[in-house]
Amino acid sequence: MDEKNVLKMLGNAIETYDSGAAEKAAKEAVKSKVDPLKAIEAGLAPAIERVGDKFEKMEVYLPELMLAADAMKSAMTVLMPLIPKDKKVSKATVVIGTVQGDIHEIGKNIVSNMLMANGFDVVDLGVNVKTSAFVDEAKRTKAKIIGASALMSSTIGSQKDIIDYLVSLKERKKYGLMVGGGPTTGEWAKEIGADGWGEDAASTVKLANKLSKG
Amino acid sequence: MAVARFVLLSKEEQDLIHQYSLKSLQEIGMLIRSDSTLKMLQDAGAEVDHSKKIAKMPESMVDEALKGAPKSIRLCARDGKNDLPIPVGGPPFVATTGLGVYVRDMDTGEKRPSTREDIADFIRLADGLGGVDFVWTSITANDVPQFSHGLHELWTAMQNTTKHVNGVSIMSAPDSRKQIELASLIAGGEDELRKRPLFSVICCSIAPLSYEGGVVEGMVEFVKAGVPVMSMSMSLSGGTAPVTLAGTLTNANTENLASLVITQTAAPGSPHIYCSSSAPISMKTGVINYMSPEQCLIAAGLGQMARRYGLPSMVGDWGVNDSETPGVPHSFTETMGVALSTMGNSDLVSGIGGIDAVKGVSFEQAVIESYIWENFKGFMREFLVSPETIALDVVRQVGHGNTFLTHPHTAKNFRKELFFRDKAKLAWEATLSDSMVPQAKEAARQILREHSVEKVDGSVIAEGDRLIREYESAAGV
Repeated sequence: MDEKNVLKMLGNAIETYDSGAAEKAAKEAVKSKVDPLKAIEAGLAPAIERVGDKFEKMEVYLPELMLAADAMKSAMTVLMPLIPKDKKVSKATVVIGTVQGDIHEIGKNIVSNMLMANGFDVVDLGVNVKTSAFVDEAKRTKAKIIGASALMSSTIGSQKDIIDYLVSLKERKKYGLMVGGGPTTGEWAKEIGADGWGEDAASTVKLANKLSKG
Repeated sequence: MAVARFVLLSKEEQDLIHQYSLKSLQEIGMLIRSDSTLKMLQDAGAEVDHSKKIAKMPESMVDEALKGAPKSIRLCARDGKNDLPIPVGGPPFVATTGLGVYVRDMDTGEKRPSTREDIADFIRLADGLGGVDFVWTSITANDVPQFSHGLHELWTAMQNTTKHVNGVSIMSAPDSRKQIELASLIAGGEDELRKRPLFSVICCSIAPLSYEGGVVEGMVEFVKAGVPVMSMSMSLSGGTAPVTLAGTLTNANTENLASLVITQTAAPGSPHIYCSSSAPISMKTGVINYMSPEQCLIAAGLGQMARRYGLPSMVGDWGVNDSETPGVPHSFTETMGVALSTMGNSDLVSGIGGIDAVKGVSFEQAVIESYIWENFKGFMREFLVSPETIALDVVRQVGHGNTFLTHPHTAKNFRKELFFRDKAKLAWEATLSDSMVPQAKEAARQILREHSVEKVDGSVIAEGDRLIREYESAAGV
């Protein structure tokens, strides 16, 4: 198959939210000797961006957005190992998790998947993550961004704990800190000194894009 | 007594939800992150996989729990006049909102993180509002240690109302013990608290089908002390439960039955309230969508399930709006939501004073919603249907074509049979007044401009016109 058709096939798989087709298209790219980096940048990335635009216009909703991200992951799993280490492009590493005392993970997983689909390296620490673990892991992975999710009014205080901990280590400025989750608000993020509030998955990706440059 | 009640599920539909809830408990089971609770359930007959922390509960455990659970409960208050006997016959008892994290400051109009002092003020306001029947602790105390904030919230609320207090925060067994100790100080000892539970606690399962360890262990402590628990399921259609409403109902029902098995195993006969705060997620943000019509339908269905089991319930979210400032911006939707959630079979409902989808509280909102509720109760009063109230003897006395207005029966009974609104407050409802008229005018013009109706045949029209003329001239018009 020629390169143009392979790229089209990759894009179509994302835009029809089809993980099986995405994997097949990625394998076709390998078989047809399409540069894997080009397959991602010219085939997959524009398609996931188009899905993101449709989401913003409310033409598609979270279920489609998530399936598109899953399809993206299926194709990336095939293509990423074939890209030489020195050529690997990641916007930034994001350490993400649900704060201590809280085991809600659906929202955090949506954000995690969307960040991955949009070219971030994501280290997902899961749920009930200790304050110090966010920071230790960010240090270890040289992350630029820490994302803390909290779903309960009774646990959002732990988001502030992470910031206070960073301040006490004198390392606050090393990381961009994003907070999100049901009871959080823009004012809350500001109040505790976070660098931004992720209202939903799409806006969190935008916020991460901003923080990765800063 | 007759009362307006909204019926959603047929008997067959209820049976199916019950049957599949049992199947869910037996075949999928509950994930319980507490070894002591798993062991307790295993000893009582559950099939437990300790490595996966999953307990599968047989039908016999559910049956026994349902048989032993009290069918009526008295939620007590510092002032006995404010006690709440449930289940209710007429309108539900309505509580303040919870659990918000900010206050819309009444003086500055600004949003700010809530403090212990705000809880004191908000609860004291609620104590003085006629439409508030009991209080949730309502807002988080952000100015106390995160570790013990629930204790501060409960303790502050209890000092500022003589109404029943419903706690919302529960962290662990020691935290529960401390809450019980605090309430016992006011009740006059733990035995007194058991006799007159001045507070009750919401214990949330985490949908789908799981429990956090601290919460479930804390719940066990509460029921052992005779403190009523509300086993709240937050089954969110499309998020933490199937997007189909039947699937959401079944998930919430399953979690409630599981909680009931836990409380009745830990303390047989302990007061247990069937509870849910379930709604679909927003397909845009993933956040719970309290403003959706489905929220009322889910509440009504679960209210019916609770009644089927004979369990008192708290399944209604009342007056929830997503506005960040006080008022009734989505007027039609909000009043419809109030109507359906209060008529939806729930004994207890919460929500007064909440703004921004429960994230914040507003003092003005509490006053507005207390009024709405006092007003709305008119739609839900019970009335007696009996030979006396049918009043056939009065009909006989008044006779054909005459008026009842001057019969003593009317003067004697109208004040208790008919509802009278507070006129001054009725003026507040201007929120439903004329600001939509210009857009309605444009919509009317557009329809008249663009919409046409299939023509009736010309000869038929002519014949119709002739018939009218003939009728008129025959009468000399």
